[in-house]
Amino acid sequence: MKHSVVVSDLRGEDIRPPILFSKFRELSIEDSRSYFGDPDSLIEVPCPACAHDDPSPVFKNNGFLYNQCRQCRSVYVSPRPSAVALKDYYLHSRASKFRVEHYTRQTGEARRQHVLRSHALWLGRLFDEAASTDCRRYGDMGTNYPLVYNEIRSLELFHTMTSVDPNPDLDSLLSESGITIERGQDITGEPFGAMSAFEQLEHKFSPGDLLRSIHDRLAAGGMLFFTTKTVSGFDLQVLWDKAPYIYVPEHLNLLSIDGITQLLEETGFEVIELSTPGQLDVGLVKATLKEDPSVRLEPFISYLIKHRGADAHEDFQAFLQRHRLSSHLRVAAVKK
Amino acid sequence: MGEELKIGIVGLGKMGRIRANTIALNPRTTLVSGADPNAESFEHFTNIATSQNYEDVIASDADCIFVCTPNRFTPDIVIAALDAGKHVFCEKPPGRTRDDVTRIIEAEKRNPSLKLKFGFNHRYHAGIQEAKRIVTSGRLGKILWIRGIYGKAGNKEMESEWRSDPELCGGGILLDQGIHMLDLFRFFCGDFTEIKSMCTTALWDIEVEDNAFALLRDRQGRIAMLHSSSTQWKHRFNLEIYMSEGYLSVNGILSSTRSYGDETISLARKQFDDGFAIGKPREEIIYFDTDPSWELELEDFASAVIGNRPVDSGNSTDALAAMTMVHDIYGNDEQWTNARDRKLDQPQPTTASDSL
Repeated sequence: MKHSVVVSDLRGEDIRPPILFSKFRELSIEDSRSYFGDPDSLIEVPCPACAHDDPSPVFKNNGFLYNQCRQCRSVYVSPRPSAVALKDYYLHSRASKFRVEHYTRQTGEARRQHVLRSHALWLGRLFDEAASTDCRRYGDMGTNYPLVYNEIRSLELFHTMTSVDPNPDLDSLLSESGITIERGQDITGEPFGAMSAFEQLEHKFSPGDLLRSIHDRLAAGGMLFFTTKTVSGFDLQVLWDKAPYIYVPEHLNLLSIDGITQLLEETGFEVIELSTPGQLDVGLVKATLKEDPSVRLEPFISYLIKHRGADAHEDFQAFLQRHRLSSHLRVAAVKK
Repeated sequence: MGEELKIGIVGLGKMGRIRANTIALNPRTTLVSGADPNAESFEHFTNIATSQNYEDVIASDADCIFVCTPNRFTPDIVIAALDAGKHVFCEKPPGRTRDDVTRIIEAEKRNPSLKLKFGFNHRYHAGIQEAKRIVTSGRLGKILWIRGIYGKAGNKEMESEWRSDPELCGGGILLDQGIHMLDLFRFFCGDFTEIKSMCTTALWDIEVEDNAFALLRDRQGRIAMLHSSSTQWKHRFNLEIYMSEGYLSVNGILSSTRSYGDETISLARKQFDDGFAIGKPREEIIYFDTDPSWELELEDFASAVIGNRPVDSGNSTDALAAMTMVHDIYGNDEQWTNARDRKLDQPQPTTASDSL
């Protein structure tokens, strides 16, 4: 196996402008109260990564209980909103509309430059290496940033590009770009050579179901590419419940690297690359501390963040990437 | 040819043991015999027939012979094995001179049904394989130029090693290690037609070069630059390939001691901002956790033999081309060639060089 480290000038505010993010978070939390406020409608679940049912409660966030699996150390919300309630939320909530109308539009170009272009290059490189299928259909699950297709198209690898279950508010934009749209009920059964799921696993009722559905849709030898937030990463390990960007329903599943690896193997994937090329862990801790000086950190971390400069932070972030200790996880896997 | 290969090894030193370990891992290959003039090496090979005469290995029931001997002996053993009807895997370098390879190729032509492969193992390293895929994909454009550095520290002992004896090896660090980098230049660009070079014996008390520098140009005008060294105190492998849309750099090469560091590829697209180059583009560094090169190389050879397929990589054309490049680099530096020839004509030095 191999893994990657990324060196660039990406700043958190480029892809997550503070004012936009603050509004989006506020709406998400308000909406979650109205959509998931009835405790009786919530469902107890075992660990969504390894299915072990031995949770240790670790913290509460806006009334939702986050547990840690004693087996694989994944952190997850249980009890949690049902799959139906989540679907309703993502189709109709104010937060979802805000995401499309403001977040996607206003951060699209920055994301294209800093994130989506590298996603595409990575996908092309790994597809060249490891895919063993002639199928040249590409599908993206739950598309949030349609510009990703422009970057994928430039690879000249795929003749058909499809968005599977995107936010309906993006339909016209996707159609204008020549992207086929498929929803759960319209699935044709025609397989894909490659599928991606960028930042999807963390907010699904069942990450296992998502991976299994992708596995079913892939041609033999086809490839899966995804990114997600992992609890094995630095900022989450340091901030834990104080991380302001972790909340329901965006983050129901903060799977550990061990948990994700196990889940992929059990679903029938062979992992080709598992990396944590995140560039923002240190910056996120720093920003959180600036926002809320009462947050307590371990002495060494506090010293590093408060009293060391940009060079040390940059080197430390590179170390986190090198040793798979950033919370931004990316995985390429091939269908066995 | 059946589905399993019986293999004999001539030369049971370091390389012979590496090959034996790899043969043991492949379900389609079995080591059956081995030879080495040094009988002490047999202690590592207690489960096979061993002999101090290579002819015994060639006469054994092995289908293939691995030749892992000092350069001087390599061509005769390869030729004898081919003429005895055995497939041959030959370590690099394939002899001491271009003529050695020409003789081997004549034997190959006499035995067209047999497979012959040379151990240009670096082609199979994960970093090089990845680099090849990236270059072939064309996503970073066309190759503009290549720069390769391959160096190791050398040591006092090497002054008395066979690798420093021109009679046994035919050349110094360039022939021993730099030939890998030259082979990789060809792996990415094809043949080169023009060479400028300088060689020197800068430090060690040896009759072969300890540093070689070369510039090579191909028919498309692309230039490759090589530095091969045995005074590189920090071991280094670095192959940079700059293309019209970006670059990649293979840094380090995984070895048993890890002395060449982690094996990585740094990879980036060129980035301009309003027409001005961003000198520090977004760069991705890929780390390779394992070295599959020995296994892949053996599997490639075994598949060619069992499947009766041509040897595509590391064949005699590649060997002849690499050897020609080495000797063109030697011959291109007249000053060094003359100095070396004068030195070889003189009585051998008796004083040791300065100790470090």
